[in-house]
Amino acid sequence: MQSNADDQKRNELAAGPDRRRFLQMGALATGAIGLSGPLAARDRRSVGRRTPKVTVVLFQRGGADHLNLYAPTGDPNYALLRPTIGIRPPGSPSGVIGLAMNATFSMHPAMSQVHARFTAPNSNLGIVHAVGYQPYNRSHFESQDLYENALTPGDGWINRHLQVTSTPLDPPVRALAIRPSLPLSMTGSYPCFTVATMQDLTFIGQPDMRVYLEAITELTPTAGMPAQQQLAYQSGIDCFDLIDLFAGINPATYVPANGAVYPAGALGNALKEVAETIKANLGVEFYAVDHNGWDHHANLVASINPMAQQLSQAINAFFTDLGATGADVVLVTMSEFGRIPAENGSGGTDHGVGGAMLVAGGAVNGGAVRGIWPGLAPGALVDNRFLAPSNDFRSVLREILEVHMGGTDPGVVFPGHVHTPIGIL
Amino acid sequence: MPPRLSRRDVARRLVTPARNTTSGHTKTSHPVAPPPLSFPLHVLSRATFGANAAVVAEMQQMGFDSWLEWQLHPEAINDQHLEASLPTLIAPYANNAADIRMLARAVHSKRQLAWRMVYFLNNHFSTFRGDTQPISETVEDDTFFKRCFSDFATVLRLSATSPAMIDYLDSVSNIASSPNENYARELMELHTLGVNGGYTEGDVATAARVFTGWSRVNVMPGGTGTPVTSSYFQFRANRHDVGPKTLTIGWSTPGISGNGGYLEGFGLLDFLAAHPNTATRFVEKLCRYFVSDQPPVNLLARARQVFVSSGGDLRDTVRAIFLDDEFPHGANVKAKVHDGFEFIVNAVRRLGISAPNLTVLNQQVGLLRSQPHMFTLPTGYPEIGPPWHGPGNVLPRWKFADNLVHNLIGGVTVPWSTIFPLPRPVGGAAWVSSLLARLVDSEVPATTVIALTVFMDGRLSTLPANPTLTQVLPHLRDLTSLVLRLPEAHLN
Repeated sequence: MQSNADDQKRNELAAGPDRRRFLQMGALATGAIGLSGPLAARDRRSVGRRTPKVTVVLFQRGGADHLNLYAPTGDPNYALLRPTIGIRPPGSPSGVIGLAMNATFSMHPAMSQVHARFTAPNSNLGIVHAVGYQPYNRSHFESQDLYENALTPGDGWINRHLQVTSTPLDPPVRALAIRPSLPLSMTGSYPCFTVATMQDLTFIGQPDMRVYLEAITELTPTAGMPAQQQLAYQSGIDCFDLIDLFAGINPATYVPANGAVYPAGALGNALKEVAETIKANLGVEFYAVDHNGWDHHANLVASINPMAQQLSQAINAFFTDLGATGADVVLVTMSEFGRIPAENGSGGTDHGVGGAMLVAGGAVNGGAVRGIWPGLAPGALVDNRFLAPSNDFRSVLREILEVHMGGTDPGVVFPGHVHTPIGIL
Repeated sequence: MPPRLSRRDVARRLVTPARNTTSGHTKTSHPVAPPPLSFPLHVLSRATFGANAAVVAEMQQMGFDSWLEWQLHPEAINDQHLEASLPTLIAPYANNAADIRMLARAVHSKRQLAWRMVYFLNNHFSTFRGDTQPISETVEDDTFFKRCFSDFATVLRLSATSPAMIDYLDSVSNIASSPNENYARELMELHTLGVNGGYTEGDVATAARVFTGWSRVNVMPGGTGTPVTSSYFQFRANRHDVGPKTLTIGWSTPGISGNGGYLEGFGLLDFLAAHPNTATRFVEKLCRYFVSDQPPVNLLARARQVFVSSGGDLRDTVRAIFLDDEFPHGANVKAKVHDGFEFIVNAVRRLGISAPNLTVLNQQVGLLRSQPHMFTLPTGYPEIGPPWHGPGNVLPRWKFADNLVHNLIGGVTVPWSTIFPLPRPVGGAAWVSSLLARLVDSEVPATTVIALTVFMDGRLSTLPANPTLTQVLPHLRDLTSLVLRLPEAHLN
């Protein structure tokens, strides 16, 4: 802020600026940014090459208890480990009775709509169980980071994929998070964007207010400014870019197709906005949404029921709404860890290791629980307590990028990862 | 929707300003170059929730050193008017009571630095009010206030025994036969040592056993199902694991049976409070909060030294941070980014809104997703800038700003005639200069001053000569809306 150029401008001002001075300084600001070259090249308001393929990443924040969502009721150890909170096998006389998936697994009964998609003929909704990574980490924020940077410090895995697949014809926005701040998966050198709700994407105020705010935001030279001030300017620029690019998106008047009914709440709203935006075909390839509140250390039976129901209804409504467009869309869930197979004394479960991912849409090989199932036998548990992370979550993401999204550079996106095909795609 | 403009249009509009509104008879007004940010304003930006006229006057009258010392002894500051009003503002056991009371203190309290500290402590020892009794959050904040300038070990014990923490991290159901690790893990990872602080997974499991039997009693005078009006710590010896416990980080207990079993936990808390890794982590967080996202290493080292040598004294540590030679360095000025709560409170204070409807204001904080007791994970809200940037945060703030200045937030009214007493600014430049000083300490590039001046001159040119405040007001509102949407409006 105290650059020489600024000092010079201040001196000029002190000397008695007038309207002509403003013209010169406006031209200065314009020249400093350079309208014809860099601006034109990074103008995000013109839509470039668009790929129809879309991936939606749904993050279950808090560490979801996948052993109650996709419960191994056919494993004899399951009922022993979870005598009070466990899902009961189909046909049980009492308790929370699961919906049959196969001989080993039952789905939480609150997820009936996802279950119907799982069991449908030619299903394109599948589960990969016992996912994770080694060495495991049971801290919420550390493990969320490890999932989102795919075990590689620095940029997020989505961001790295965007970097390696970038071309001069990139659309203006390839990745959008429907949440207040950018998730780590999208953080990095490739510009990714975030909006709390698409309803925010309108400029409030008179047209002349927009002209001046936009000019100040976009034409002020930011070189030499402190880092946070530069970020604040970039935020403002991003606001105007998103407002323009998504001018046709209007969640307030949007009517979901095919009678889809989204559940009330943040997840349903976010997926509804994603569906509307996908249909607008503006070139966004990756969306990130959050489902908060999975940290059920206590009272799991009562707490997980509404969460599971919301998740199931939202995913079902999303693909119902997309209709045929859903063939181009894959939704994948992840959570920072699974939970300990043995219940604790609070009717809940503590942070564990192996979890599960739901993969749906597109050409997903659904109707099955994929990956190696290590089981819950005492000898199979890691450190005698945790579900083994037999299937590396990066293998699932890699199949999505390579098969669904048309390819990636795994050496950059998943460095050091030895791929074991899961067959989910 | 406003008309779509290309960047080229925008550039042209900037270099040929307000052509549509100036038809040759516009008054020319001269933008005023701002002085560099003064040290007192920098201090106030960190030690208060917004430099309003009252705190600026306090600082001027007392001088920096005396003002800081005065603020470091909040018990001697008379805040009776505010504190007495709180019980009638909202029942202390109402769902959102703690959020609204925090807002009341941030907006109104004369004990600004103390409440800045409580705001920090509440987030450091984050509890989510969706998982706790509302009264517990209210009492926890009040207790943190009473001890906010005591020592870290005391505050750590307050947090550990707070019914809010006991509910939130499940100590309430942590029993010998089946320990719950939730509190033990976050205690070491988040409250004290830090995730790389040297403890092991086994230590988490062992520490969980130390806290078995920690519980609380909820008091419901109206009977079961009625509001919990008070809650207090209780140790249930019959749930406590009395066996010996050893942590690899250098602490052990032979196990204490009977009603004194909770003393094991106090012993571990004191050990963790005094651990060198706790000093490093806690002081760094404190400096990130008060100084910058990347505090100068020498300042950090000095503050840590004071923390350690004073036995974790929070008053001494905070004083050392504000008195540090590097605190006012240019790199630290306007180097912090408001979170949503801070953005709103800062605007309310600086606009002189003396009696905002706090329930309504708390809803607005909710729209910016930063109510102090509503973060669901135990990490607390981020203390650094990047997560608060981006359209996901900024667009809701733009909306708040515009609604605020246009009286669209019920019960929250900007007192324009009061904050602009006679004689009022004349001409766009004077209005712009006045507003920039009031809202952003005049810390904006010179080109911004000019652009806003041209904007305001253009608006004023549509008015008769010597306009009344009523005539200026629609344009003043729009100008204020613009200033609150400047990139600099997010900086602190």
